[in-house]
Amino acid sequence: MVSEDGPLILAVNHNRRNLDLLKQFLSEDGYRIVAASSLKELGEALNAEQHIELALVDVSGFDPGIWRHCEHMRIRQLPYLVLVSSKEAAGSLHQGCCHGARYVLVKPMRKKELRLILNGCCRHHDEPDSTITGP
Amino acid sequence: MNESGKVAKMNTKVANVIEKDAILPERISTGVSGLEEILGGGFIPQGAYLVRGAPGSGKTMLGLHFLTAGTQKGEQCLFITLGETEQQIRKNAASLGFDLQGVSFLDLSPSPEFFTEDQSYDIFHPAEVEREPITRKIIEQVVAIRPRRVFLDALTQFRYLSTDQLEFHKQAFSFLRYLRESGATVVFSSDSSPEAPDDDLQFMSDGIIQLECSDMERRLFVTKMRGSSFRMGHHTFRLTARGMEVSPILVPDSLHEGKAPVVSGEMIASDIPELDALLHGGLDQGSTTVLTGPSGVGKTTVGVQFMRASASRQERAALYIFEEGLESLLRRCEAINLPIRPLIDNGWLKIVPIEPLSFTADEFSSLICRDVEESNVRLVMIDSVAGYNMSLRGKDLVSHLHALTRYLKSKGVSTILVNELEALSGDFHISEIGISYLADDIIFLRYLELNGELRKAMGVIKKRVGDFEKTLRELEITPDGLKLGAPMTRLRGLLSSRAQLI
Repeated sequence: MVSEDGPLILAVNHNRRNLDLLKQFLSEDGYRIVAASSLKELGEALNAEQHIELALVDVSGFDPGIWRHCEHMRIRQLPYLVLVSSKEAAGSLHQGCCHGARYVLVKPMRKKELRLILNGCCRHHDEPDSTITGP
Repeated sequence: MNESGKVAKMNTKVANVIEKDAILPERISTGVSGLEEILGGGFIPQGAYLVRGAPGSGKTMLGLHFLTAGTQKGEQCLFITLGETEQQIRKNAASLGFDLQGVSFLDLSPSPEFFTEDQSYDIFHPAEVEREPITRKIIEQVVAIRPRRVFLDALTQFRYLSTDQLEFHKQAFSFLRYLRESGATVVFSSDSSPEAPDDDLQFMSDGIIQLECSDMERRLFVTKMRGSSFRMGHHTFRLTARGMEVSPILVPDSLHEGKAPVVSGEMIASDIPELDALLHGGLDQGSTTVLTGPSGVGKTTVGVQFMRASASRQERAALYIFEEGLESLLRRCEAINLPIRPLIDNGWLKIVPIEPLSFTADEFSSLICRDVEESNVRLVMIDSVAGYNMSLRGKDLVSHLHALTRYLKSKGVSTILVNELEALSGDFHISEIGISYLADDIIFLRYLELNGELRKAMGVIKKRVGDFEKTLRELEITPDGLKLGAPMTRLRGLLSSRAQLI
C-alpha cells in the first residue's frame, strides 16, 4: 500500500499502460510515485522541489533527448535505472552506462527481481553499481 | 486368403477384444453423433479431455455439442473462451442450431479497448499482470455455478501467461485438477503447431481426440482414453448444418462374434424356378454372395431379381447403387418386366443412390448400419464393389469390405456384392480385386460365343452351405423378364476362353 513517508520514486514511461502498472506495483510496495510520460513532464518533475529517491526511466518511445535528462540526473547524483526493450537493448545499454545509470534492465521484468533491486537501491544508493538483468 | 484379407481378419479380432472391454458403467455423453461408439460410451466423469486440431477442424463445435448435451439434462455448463468472444460464439452456434441459453460463459478474450485505448504493455511479463485476475475470475465463476461440464477454448492460450514451460505445466495441471475436483468434466482444446507443440497437455489429459482435415475428408482419431478402451482408427466426420456427425469405422458386432447369427435357415429365393434350381433353393440367409461378371452381362438385373423377391415376401431389402441413377434403374427394370416401384412405395424395398466422391466409406457403412438396425433390412446389395472402392479414396478395399460383410453376417443380414470384371472374355476369373474370399456364395455370369452368336450364361462356383448345380444355364434378359434355360450339360471349355457345345 502507498506509504505517506515511503521513498519517492520518479517513474518515467511513455506508455500509459506501463506507467499504470508500474504505479500500481510501486504503491503496493509502499513507495510514493511521481510519474512522467513526456520529456516535458520529466523536466518539471526534476525541477520540482521534492526529494526523489530513485528514478525508473523507460527510454522506449522517447527521442534521444531523454539522455540529456539522464545526464542531468547523473550530475545531480540522483540514482536512476534505465529500462529498455530487448530490441533496443544493445544501443540503450551503451547509452545508459555512459550516462551513469545504476542498472540497465531489459523488459519485461519480473516483479520479484525489480522489488529486490528497488529495495537495494533505496537502502544503499550511495554504492555505485551497474549490472544488467533481463527476463 | 490373401495377405490383406488376413490382416483385415486380425484387425477385426483386435477391435472386438477392445469392444468387449469398452462398456463401463458411468459415462458422460459427448453430444456428438457417433463419437460415443468410439469412446466406449462417452467421457468418464470428472476427466479432462484434450481436443487437438488445426484451425477450422471442428474443436469448438465438439465443445458446443458437449455443453449442450449437458444443458439438455439440466446440468450447469461453462464455456471459458480465451479466443473468440462470447458474442461471436453465440452467433455462430445459433446459425448451427445450438441452443446455448443454458450455457454460462466466461469470456477472457481481449476486449476492443485493448486496441482502441492502447492497453498494450511490455514492462512486466503477461504472466505477472494478467494471470492473477484471470485466475480470480475463473474461480469466482466456478464457485458461483458449480459446473458439471466445462469447455475451455483454448488452454494453450494460458501458455502466454506463464513465464516458462515448467510453470505452464504446473499451472495447467493444477487448473485442470481444480476443475475436476470441483466436480466438472472438462473438454479443452489446443492450438498446437510445430513451433508450439502441446505434448505437455497430451500427457496431463485423460483422453485425446485428434481432428484432422484434408481436401478429401475430415477425420477423427482417439489416441488416449485413460481408464477405458476405445475404437482405434481414423473415423470420418462431417461438419454439417446440424453440427458434427462422426461415422465410426465399422467393427462387426462383438456381441454376435463367434456365435451363429439368428437366421431362420430358409433360402432367399429369386422366384425364378430355374435360378433357384441353380442354387438348390436360393441364397443362404446371412450369407455374402459375390455376383461377378463383365459389364452388361446382367449382374444388376439378377441381383434386383433377388431383392424384388425378398421385398415381395416382406423381408426388407436395400440396394445401394454407386453407378446408376435411380430413375434409370427403375426404367430399366420396368422395361424387362421387373416392377419394383410398388415395393419402393410401400417401403419393403429401398434404393439409395450413392455418389462415391461425396460419401466416405465410414459414412456409407454407418448408413447401412442404420438401415439394418433401425429399418430391419434383411438383404443388402451393393452395386458395385468398384463404386464402393471409389468412396474409399485409396484405402484398403478388402479390409473395409471384410468389416462390412462380417458386420452384416453377425446381424443375420444377407449381402449381394456386385463385382465387375474388366475382361469380356478369356480365362476365367472370379474377381480382379481379391474379394472372393469374402464370399459364401459365388455366382458368375459370362458371355459365350456359340455358333457365331453372343450369348450369356450363368453358374455357381461356390456355395458354402449346401449343394448347387454344377452346370451352367443360359441367361436371357427379355421384355418379359429374366429367363434361364435348362442346364447346359453339353457345354465344354467354359473356364478356358474356348467354350463350345458338343
